[in-house]
Amino acid sequence: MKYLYTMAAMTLATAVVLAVPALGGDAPAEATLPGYWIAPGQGGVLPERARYHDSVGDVEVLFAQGPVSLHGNAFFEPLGSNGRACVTCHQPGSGMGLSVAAIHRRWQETQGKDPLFAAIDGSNCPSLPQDQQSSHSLLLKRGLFRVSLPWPRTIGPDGSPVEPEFTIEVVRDPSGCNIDPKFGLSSTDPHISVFRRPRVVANLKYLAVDAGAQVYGGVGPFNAKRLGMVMDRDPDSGGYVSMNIMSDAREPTLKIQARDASRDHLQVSQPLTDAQLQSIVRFESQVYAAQGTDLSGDDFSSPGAPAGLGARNLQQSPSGVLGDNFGNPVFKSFAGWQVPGVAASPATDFRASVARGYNVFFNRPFWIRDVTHINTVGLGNPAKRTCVSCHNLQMVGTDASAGWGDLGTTNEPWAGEAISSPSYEPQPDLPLFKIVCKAEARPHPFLGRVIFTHDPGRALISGKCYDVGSIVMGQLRGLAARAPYFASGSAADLGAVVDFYDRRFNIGLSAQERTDLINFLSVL
Amino acid sequence: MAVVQAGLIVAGTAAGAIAAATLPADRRNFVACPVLQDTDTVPCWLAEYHGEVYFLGIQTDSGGWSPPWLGHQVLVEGRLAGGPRICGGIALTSDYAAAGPPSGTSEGKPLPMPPVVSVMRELDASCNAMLPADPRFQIVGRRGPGPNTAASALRRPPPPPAPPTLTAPYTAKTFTLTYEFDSELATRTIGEALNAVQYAQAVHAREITIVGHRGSTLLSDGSLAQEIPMIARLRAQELARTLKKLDLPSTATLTVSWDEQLESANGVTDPDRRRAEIAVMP
Repeated sequence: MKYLYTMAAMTLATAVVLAVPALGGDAPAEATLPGYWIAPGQGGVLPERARYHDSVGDVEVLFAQGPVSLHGNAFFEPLGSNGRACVTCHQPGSGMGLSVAAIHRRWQETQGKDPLFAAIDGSNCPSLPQDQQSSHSLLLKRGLFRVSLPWPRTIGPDGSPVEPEFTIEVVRDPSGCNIDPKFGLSSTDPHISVFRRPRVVANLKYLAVDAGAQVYGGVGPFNAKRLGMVMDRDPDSGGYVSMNIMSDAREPTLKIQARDASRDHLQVSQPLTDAQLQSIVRFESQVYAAQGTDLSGDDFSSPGAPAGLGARNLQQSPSGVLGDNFGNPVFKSFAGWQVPGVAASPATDFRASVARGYNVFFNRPFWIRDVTHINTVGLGNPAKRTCVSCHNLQMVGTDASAGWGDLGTTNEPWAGEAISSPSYEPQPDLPLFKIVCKAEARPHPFLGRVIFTHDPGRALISGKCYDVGSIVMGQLRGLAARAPYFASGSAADLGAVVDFYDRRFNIGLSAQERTDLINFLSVL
Repeated sequence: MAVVQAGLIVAGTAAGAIAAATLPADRRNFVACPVLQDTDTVPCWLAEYHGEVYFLGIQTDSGGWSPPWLGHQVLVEGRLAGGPRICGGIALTSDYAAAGPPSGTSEGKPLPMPPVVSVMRELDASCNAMLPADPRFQIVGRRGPGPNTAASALRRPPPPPAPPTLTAPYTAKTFTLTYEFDSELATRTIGEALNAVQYAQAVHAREITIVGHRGSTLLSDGSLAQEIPMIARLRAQELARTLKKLDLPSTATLTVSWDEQLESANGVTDPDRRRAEIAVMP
């Protein structure tokens, strides 16, 4: 197979694009080499497989159905009034997510005029002066988009009534949007504004189609982990869904997510047609993204590379496999990397570190404590387990059940507001809410009836006090291309992710274990 | 489907509903902080009552019994299991244990089925005791602290159960869900809700009624642990939400009611009366 490289300089995240022409197709001759940014409506053809430089090598994006013509593809077309397309926030160059490095570069290249920075959600609040960088600080610092949700919520995603079990008070809001007379909680159309990272539009066969309740045979419509909770349904098919697409599980299917995102983020004037929705879903369902190479020069598509790595392996592996077991490990085997080569080299040292990191991830027990929907669903509190107990869905490392839980990334006392990086001044920039649970509500299991949070998460959809701060777990693939991490963007890099867990669960990682875990996560 | 919320059926007083009873000598019903006793494998859960330490169970997978939570007191309802101490505690058991094999072994002997353990609703920060691993306690769980040892965990759903083949005349049928103390979440018995809906669909039910109940437990010290007054209503309403999401037949009228009168307690079968009932009328 012939490989073609091009290189483009980048300020914050250099991009090297490796185009792999499709075999036997008629489009390769026209395939273009995309840069770090694809603008809505720019046209062209994306190759079947392309690689983009990230912090540790190249992230790889694979289109299972071959090269993709951007013209006329609803995912890439500006469908709404603000000039955005789906691709604006789900860039191949960021592993189908969006890195804060790419956001920064786009700001610099366009002086903030790119549709990415649209007032509706690309700024801290639409009422702020949009030509000022400070009005977009949450996007520029943390990669966060404003998510505006009606509150109090009266109806659930499936149409069933919701009666909120708690009240929300704004303690402070540097964004200003929750106290804004037009957009805030006291407006005539009251909404709460929370700020979240975009989810990854790749590897969705694992998340949107064949995970969740379907994994657990014999429990019918009930979520096996949260026994007693009936899963939401696909209104078209009537089937129960995984509830693993969004960080608050509010969208049951990709089709409904596309419909609502076009309204909320693209600001379409008319609802998308069914053909447009189907086009988006078809495209999204065949995209795979993962790290493709590492800094030591390993190509994860080459023979002998671990079977859990690379986009092609994601495409070819079955979905719906529980990986918290020795029979079908979550990211398969790194045995080939465990033994250093005959002659030690930086490459073999790195591989050995990755293999050790996987071993920590898979085998090192620690006390998982005070996590709603983990400790409360039959494990006990605390539970002596390993990372893979929760990150258990093979190849993506999400939770096979509807995987929301209160890890503490948005609730005090664990969340913290400062980005976990010495390069940022610790200063509050997220809204802080005070949640007070009503007397008859089942309280939050570990925070009680008064909770301080930056994002109530799932509770804004369910209305349940015990869901405050619960966030649906994100997939672990292509991480190096899309920092920062966690729904609140609070971890600036993978080191900050590992440090959060170490602090949260008092794991006591050694310096070597920390490095190994970071290296392991970086190659996923 | 029409929905009728009938509301409170009877407003009884707690005292009037309590049946005097004497606990059998081997019963141990009490409310206490749980204590985590670590081992070289999975942790044990203990609780202290009247100066004696009792063994409740070990950490398991999601399923079977639900171990306690630090940060909360637990209601323990059990009886002496006999046999040697486990993790330093006198073993308790019950007749309400989850189905399935024992959760593991202690000193090579199968662990008893655990007692009924209910996590109390509110926080109690004083429940925070974790004891370090003690090499004397040789516990082997069905699942250890690491990944499962099962060779494969690829679990595809089995084909849906065939709808019951019923012929007229259909009969009224009642489905009962039981709950942990003070809980409206039917964690272990939720399958009965699905059974009720499937039956209702099969017989084209014209009427379905839900009745929530409020229980109590006679404790070993002679006092009565009473569920919170609103629990019967919460159970009925939560169950109604569940049934509606499970697709009740359009022919049926759903009536939701609750009985806040405290159920009687005898210290033995009290978990049976923390319940909600679904009656399906063809």
